[in-house]
Amino acid sequence: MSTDAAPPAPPPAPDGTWRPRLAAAGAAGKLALRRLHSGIYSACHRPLSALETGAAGLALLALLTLAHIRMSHRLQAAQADSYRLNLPIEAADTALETIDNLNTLKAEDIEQMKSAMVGLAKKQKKYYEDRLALSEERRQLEKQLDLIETHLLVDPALGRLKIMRADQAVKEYPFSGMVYLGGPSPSKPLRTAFITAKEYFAHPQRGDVKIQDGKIVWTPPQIGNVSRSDALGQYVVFTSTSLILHAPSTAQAAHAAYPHWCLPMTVATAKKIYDAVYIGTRISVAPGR
Amino acid sequence: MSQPSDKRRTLVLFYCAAIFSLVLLFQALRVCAVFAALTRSAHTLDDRTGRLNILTRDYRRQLDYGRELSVRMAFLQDLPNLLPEQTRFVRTQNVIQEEVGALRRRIGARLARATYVLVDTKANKLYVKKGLKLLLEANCSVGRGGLLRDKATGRGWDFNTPKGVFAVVWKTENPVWIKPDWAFVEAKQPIPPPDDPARLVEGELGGYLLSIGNGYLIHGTKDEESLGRPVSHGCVRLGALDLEQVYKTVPIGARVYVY
Repeated sequence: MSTDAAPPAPPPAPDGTWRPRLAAAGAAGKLALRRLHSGIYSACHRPLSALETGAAGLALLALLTLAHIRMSHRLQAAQADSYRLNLPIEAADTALETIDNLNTLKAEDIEQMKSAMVGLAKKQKKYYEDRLALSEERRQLEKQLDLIETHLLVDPALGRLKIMRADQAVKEYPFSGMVYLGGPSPSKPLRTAFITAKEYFAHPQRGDVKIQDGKIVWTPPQIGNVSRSDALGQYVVFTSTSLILHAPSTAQAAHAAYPHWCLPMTVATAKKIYDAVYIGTRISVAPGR
Repeated sequence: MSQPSDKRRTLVLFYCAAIFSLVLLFQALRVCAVFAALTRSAHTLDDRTGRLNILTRDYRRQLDYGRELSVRMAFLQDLPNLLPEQTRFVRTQNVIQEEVGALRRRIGARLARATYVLVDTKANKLYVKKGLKLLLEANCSVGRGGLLRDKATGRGWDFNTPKGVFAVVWKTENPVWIKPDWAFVEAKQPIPPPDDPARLVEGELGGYLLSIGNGYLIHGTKDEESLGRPVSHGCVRLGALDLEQVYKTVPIGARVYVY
């Protein structure tokens, strides 16, 4: 065949360099490729013998069997893996369910606790407010009762002044006789009086408020160094009558000249009485004088 | 011409080839079936792995949530310790309740259904009550106490709110105040003549005024911020709304208890 004929060798290069060698290698390659192609062609066109066919079939069967075995093994391994995964999945499922239930219970507990706390806080607040309101009302009522029930009982015969709370004597103070100063004694006996003012020092001018030409004129009580102050000294309790309770005056002459019923008492007693009585407190003078 | 032995041989070969082909086909089908099962198994494995991952992640999340819940619960469980025991409260409160009940009966018997005013000078609060029923509770300002002296004239003024039982003597609306001498002394200003217009002050006493005798008043103020503190000159100051209500509720002659 002409295709099998080797190509003519290239003429050697006159100088003997690489060019002719390269050409020779290319020609050899082409020849080998041509032979391979012709082999394949002849094999494809050659009828196979029964033996060859059987051998090819057996080879294929062997391959398939091998593939089946390998794949079966793989399948088993995968199924085993899959089965093995079932256990942790089930365990995880169970654990998750358990923890989920626990968390749900916890959350419910917290909600219950919260609502209980809210209820408790509200209850406590109500207790607290009720107690405050009750204490406030008790203070109001006690003070009001104190204002209403406190009165003084003066017994000139015994020389005792009692601070009364309803029918009970709370305190009792001595004084040395009840005298009228600053003039002749009034003919009308003194029986009842009400406290109208309390002045730490007798004010030269009482406080006053009046409407003057439709306008309010208010003057608070004034204090000062005038005869009224001198005469009555400290812790002065004025009444609706001429009875005045006060501490001893340093200005004896002024005191003697100031017209009033006087219950001579010590500064300490005057202070205690001053602190214990209120505006409006009733003073009863026991008969016998 | 072919011989019968050749034919038989050919037939045998044919059947052998057919059977062998069937075997091959069968084996190929088995391989395909195993392949399909393997594929399914691989998917299942993937699914399960994925599921396991999700479960693990969820578990971790639930664990964290559980820890957070535990912290919250511990906080809530500690809270009751902040609150005092109730039992003693209740017992004491019952006693106070009884005492207040007794006081109510005593006061109620005396006051019947009268409307009256209570002024708490220590708490700077004013209450209006009818019998035992509270009609109004308001912040007020009472006398700040102390004395104001005028060195020039030797005069002095006492700014206390006295305690005791007073009564509403008269009341009026829109009072105009004539500033007295002490107001100028207090402001360290020269004292003007009595009829000087500088003495006229509108709105200083608020919209209403109630006189409770002895020179003491219940009136309004421009400085409502100071209510609740003793800052007045002896009168009882109220806020505008409370003052209006007191004015409308409390009749002339009503008692005013200042304590």
